[in-house]
Amino acid sequence: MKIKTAIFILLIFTVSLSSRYLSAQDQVREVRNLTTIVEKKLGKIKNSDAVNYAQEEINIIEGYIKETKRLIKEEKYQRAYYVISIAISYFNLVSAKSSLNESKTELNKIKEKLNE
Amino acid sequence: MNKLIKYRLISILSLMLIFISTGNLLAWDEDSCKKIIEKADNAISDIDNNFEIKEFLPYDYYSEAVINIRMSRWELDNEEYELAFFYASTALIKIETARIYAEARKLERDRLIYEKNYYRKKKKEETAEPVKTPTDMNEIIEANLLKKGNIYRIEIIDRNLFEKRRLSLSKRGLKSMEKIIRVLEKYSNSKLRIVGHTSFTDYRKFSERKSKRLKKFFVANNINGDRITAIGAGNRIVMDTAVGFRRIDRIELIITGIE
Repeated sequence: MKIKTAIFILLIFTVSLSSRYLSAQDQVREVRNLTTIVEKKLGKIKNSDAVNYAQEEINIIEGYIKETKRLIKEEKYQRAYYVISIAISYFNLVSAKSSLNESKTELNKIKEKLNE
Repeated sequence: MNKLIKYRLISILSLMLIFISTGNLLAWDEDSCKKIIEKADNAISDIDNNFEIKEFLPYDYYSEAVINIRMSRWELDNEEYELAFFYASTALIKIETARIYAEARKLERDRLIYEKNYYRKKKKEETAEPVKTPTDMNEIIEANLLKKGNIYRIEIIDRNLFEKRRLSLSKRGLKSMEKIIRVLEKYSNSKLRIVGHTSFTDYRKFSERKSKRLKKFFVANNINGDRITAIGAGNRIVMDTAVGFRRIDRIELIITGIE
């Protein structure tokens, strides 16, 4: 009876340990995938006109990517996930700035036309 | 010797600066959470009191930011500082995004007003030119197309075009589309641009689906698909109505190349 309970406790212990390990692995994979996505997006933005009006945001996103990588090295995966998610939300800000830029140029064009 | 000390001092100072700047990213404690929540709150009240851009706010971003602030407060009460910091900082970014979009929309409204004045001015100048007789333009008049320079356009509200909760054309919509087909058949070199618009949310995919549905209809009625482009503009472009500029679920048909 005692041996059975010991085996049972051992089994529970190993299952809980392995599940923790697996969930941590999943988190790492997710954070790494997100960082690669963010890096790709950032690369595209850097090659576009956005460099002229969203340099500040680009620098911030780069800072967050570095921070995420550092946190992954320190095995703080949850925090790394939060940091990279904050970086992702900056892309909306960049697209908002691009639409603002577009509407400014359009407005200037029509103003010039009216002055002709 | 003095130079060495100076260099060391500068390097230590710069290292300290880097440490402080990275420390901001790592500041996930209670105080920093409270500060950032306060900042987000102030940003929201600033937007609320800014009556110039308030009417142009994209409410999807705005409401998400408000919800995020509530969530961060909730997490702060539960002493989950990491989550609270995350929610508060995303709220701040969303508020900023909403503010910039609102400014862009305001400029877009200004552009529309200027454009209106420009075409009025041009129309006055063009009155001396010979105007086409109504018999030549019969199809265009029947289709209710409005001329703006070399462009003919019409905006049709969704409820006049589609059936309720469906993207199939209603009887009324069919009639008006048949008139457009007649115009396209008469002017074989003309091109059609279909732009879908939405009202409350910036739902681009849905607006695109609407316009593509119409394109299908035109192609099925023997209009060459190469002549037609279908795009979705979401709710970014406002409509000039009798009661001012409004965002309305509608379809805009723009025909070019009619001579």
